Amino acid sequence: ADDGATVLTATDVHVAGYPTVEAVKWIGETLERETSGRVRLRQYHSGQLGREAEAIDMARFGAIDMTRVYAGALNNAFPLTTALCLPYAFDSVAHLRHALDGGIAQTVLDGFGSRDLVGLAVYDSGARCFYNTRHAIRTPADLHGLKLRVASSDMFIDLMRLLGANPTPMSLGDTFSGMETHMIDGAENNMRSFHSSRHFEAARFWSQSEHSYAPDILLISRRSLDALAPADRDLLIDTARASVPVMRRLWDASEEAARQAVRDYGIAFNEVDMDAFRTAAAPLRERYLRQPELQTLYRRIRDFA
Amino acid sequence: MAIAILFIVFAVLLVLGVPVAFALAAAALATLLYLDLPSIVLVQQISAGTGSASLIAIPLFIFAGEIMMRGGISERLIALASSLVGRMRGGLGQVSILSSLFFGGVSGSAIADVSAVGGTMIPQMVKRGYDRDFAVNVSITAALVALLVPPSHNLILFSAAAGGGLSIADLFAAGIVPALLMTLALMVTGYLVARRRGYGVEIFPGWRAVLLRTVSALPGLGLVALIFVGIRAGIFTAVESAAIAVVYALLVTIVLYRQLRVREFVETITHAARSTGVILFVIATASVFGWLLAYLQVPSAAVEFLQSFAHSKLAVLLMIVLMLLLLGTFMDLAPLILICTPIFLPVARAYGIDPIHFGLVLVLTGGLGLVTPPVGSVLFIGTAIGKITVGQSMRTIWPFWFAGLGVLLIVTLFPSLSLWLPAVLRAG
Amino acid sequence: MSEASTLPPLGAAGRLLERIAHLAIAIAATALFGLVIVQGWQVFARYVINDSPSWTEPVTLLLLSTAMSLGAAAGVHTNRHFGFYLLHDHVRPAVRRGIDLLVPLVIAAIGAVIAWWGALLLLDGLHIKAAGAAMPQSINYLPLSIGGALMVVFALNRFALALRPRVEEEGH
Ligand code: NA
Ligand code: NA
Repeated sequence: ADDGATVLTATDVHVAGYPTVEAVKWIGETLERETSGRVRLRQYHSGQLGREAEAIDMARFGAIDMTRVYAGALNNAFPLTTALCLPYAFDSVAHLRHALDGGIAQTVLDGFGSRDLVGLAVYDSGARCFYNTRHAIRTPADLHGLKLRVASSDMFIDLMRLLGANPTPMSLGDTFSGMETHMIDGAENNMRSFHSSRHFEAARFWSQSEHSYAPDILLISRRSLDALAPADRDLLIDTARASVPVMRRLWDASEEAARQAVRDYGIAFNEVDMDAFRTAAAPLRERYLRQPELQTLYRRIRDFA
Repeated sequence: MAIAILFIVFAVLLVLGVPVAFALAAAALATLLYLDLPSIVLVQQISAGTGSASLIAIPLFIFAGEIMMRGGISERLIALASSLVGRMRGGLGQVSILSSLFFGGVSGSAIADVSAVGGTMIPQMVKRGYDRDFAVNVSITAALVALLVPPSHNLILFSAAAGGGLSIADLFAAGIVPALLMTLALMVTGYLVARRRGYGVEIFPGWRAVLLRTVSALPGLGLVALIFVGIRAGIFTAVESAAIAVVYALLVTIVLYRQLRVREFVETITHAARSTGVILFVIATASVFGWLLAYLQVPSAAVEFLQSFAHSKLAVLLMIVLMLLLLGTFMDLAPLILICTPIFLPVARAYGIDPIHFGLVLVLTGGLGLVTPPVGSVLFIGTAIGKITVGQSMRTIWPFWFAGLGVLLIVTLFPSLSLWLPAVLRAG
Repeated sequence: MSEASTLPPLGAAGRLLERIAHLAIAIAATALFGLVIVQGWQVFARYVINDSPSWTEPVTLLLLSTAMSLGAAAGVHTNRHFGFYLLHDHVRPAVRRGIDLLVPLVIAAIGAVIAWWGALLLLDGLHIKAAGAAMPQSINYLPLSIGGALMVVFALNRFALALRPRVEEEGH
C-alpha cells in the first residue's frame, strides 16, 4: 500500500460467508482497528489464488502471507496434523474443543515451524460423515462397493478402503456432477460443506458416521510474521487466537442452518452403528500410532475424552 | 502500476516477436519482481497451471485427432459429407463446412480441424478450379464450427479457467445448437459467394454410394457418439473419454481400416507430442499471468469499470463481447480464454448471466479472432496450406466473417439457444 | 504459429542438439501414450475389477508435466511456439538483427528461471510422499526443471546462430 500500511494477504478456498472466511475477515477488521490502519488484511476467498496444496507452498515462500487449509491436505507434509484427522480420535464436538483448547491445538500449531510456517489457529469444523445417492449406511458392510469421492490424502484413501468402500480421489469441484452422473455414489464431508457445495441436491442419504473431525488450520508465512514489528506480531497472534471462539459461534449457527436447510430439502438422516465403525477403523489407527509422536499426541487427545 | 507493467511488458515482447508463452512468463516475472514477490511463484504456478485434471483431455483429444487424420477416419467422414452436400453450388466448399461439423466433433480443436479438413479440401478445391482465396476462407471459417461441437477443448479450458465448477457435459450440450446455426450461416454464405463467382456443382454419386460411404464412415460417427454419450451418461469423465477416443481411433484405424503402419503411428504420436508441449506451455504460463491478475484484483476493477456505465445485463454482455473482439484480434484463443475468464466471468455472474451461456459467447468471440490478423493461428495454417498471403485472404473473407459475427450476436442475444439443450438433457 | 525454421548446416554441436531435441520429443511422446494407458486402465479398473486405483491421478499429472515440459523445450529448438512476427518482417535489417538476438535471450532467461526454481522446488518436497502414489510430492518439478534447462540450451543455440554473419534469401 502507498500510505505505508502493511497489507497482509490471506487466502481461502471457501466462498465469502463461510465461517473460516468470516473469521479471518474479523481478524483483519480487528487488526485494522487496533493499529489505526497500520496493519490491514486483504482476503482472497473462493480459491482465487489457487488450490490448498499450492497455497501452503505460496505461504512458505512468502508469495502470500496467510492461508486457511483443511488439515487433511497437510497430513503428508506435517505428520502431526494426522492426529487431528484419525478416525474416531474425537468422540464429540465438545471433546474436540476441550482437547484443542487444552493444548492440543498449540502442539499441532508449533509443528509447522519446520517448514517456514507458523500455525495461528485451529478452526474446528464439525464431524465428517458419509452421504450418498444409493442407500442409508448403518454398518461398514453398507459401504461395500460404494464409490466414494475422497480428498487427496493417504489417510482418507486408506480409511475408505479399510471400511470397504471404493475410494475415488477427485477434486471437490467434480464431485457434484460425478454423483449426478453416477460415476461415484457419494462422498464424505461436514454438514456445512454438504450444504454449501449443493451436494445435497444429488445425494439423498446422510449417515451420521462422524468418522473424522479433521479441522481447518490458519497458517502464516514465517517470513511475513518476522517482518512485522514485535508489537504487531503479538497483536496478530493474539487476535488469531481470539478468532477461534468467533469462528465457533459462526460455525454453530450456520451448521444448524445448513442442517435445517437440507432437512427441508428432504434429505434422509440416519444414525450408524458407531461401535462397528470404530472397530472397523481401529487397524488404521493402530498403524498410524506406530509413529511415536502421533502416539503421544493421540494419548493426550484421549485424556480429554 | 503493477498492472501496467504486466500488460506493457507482455505487449512489447509480443510485438517484438517473443512467443506468446514466453512473453506471458516474462511479463509475469517482471511484475513479481516489481511487487517484491518471490519469483519462485512463477515456476510454482506454471506447474499448478497444468495440475488440473480436466486439462489432460486436451493432449489426448489432439492425439485422437492426429490418429483420425492419418488413419483414414476423417477421410471417410469427408467422403460422406461430399456425397450429401456436393450438389449444392460451391459444393466442395459446403463439404468443408459439413466436415468441420462431423470431424470437429472429434478433434475438439479448431487448429487440428483446419489442418485436417483444410489440408484435404483446399488442394482438392484448387484442383477443381475454385479460387484459392475462396478455398482458404471457407475452410478456415468452417473451423469455427469445430469450436462449438463437442468435445471442444476450448470449452474444457473455459471450465478449468472458471475454477472447475462448471459441468463440462453441460458446456458440450450448450455448444450444439450454436454449432448447427454456424454451419447453416456459413453454408448459406458459401452458396451466395459461389453463385456470384459462378462455381459449379459436384455430381451426385447416387444413393448406393451415399449408403456405402455412410457405412464406411460409421466408425468415425460412432466415435463422436461414444464420446458424447459416455460423458453425458457419466460412464466416464471427460479425461477418460479422451483416452477412450484414442484407443477407439487406434482400433478402428489399425484393425478395421488397416491404414496406420508402425512408422505412421510413431509420426502421429510425435506430432501430437509437439503440439501438446506448445499448447500446454502457453496454458501454464497464462495461468501465472492469470494468478497475477487475480492477485492485483483486476477482476473486481473490471466489474467496477463496467458497472460505471453499463446498466443492463445485455449492455454488459455486449460490452464484454466488444472487448473480447478487440483482444481476440491480437491474442490466440487458449490464452484469451485463460486470461479473460477470471476477469469477465465474475462480472457476468454479478449481472446474472448464466456462466454456461457466457462460456459459449466467450469461446465464439475469441474464435472469430482466430481468423483475424495479426494473431490468428487458424488463418495462418489455412493461408499456408492454400499458398496465399494473409492479405489475399483478408480481402475476400468478410462475408464469412460477418456470417460468424451474426451468429455470435444471435447466440449472445438469445441465451436459450445455448441453455435449452443442456436443460433438456439434464432433465432426461 | 510458425513453421519449423530452416537452419544453416549443422556442425558437431548442432548434431548433438538435434539428437537431444529428438530425445526430448521421444520422451514427451512416450508420456503422452502413457496418459492413454493410465486413463484407460482407470476406466477398466473402475468398471471391470470394480476398484478405483488411487495412484492414477498423481501419475497422470506427472506424465502431463513430462509431455508439456519436454514438448515445450523441443518447441524452442524448432521455433514452434505460438507468436507473431509481424514487426519482424517490416523493419530494417539492423533492427531485425536486434530482435533476432533479443528473442532467444528472453526465452533463455525464462528457461533458466524455470530450471533453477524447478530444481529447488523438487528438492524441497523430495522427502514428502505424494498422496495416493509411492513417489515424492514434488516429482512434477523434475521434468519441468529439465525442460527449463533444455530451453536455455536451445535458445542459446538460436542466439549463436543469430550472431553468425548470415546468408540471406533462404527462399521457400
Ligand atoms: Na469440437
Ligand atoms: Na486474431
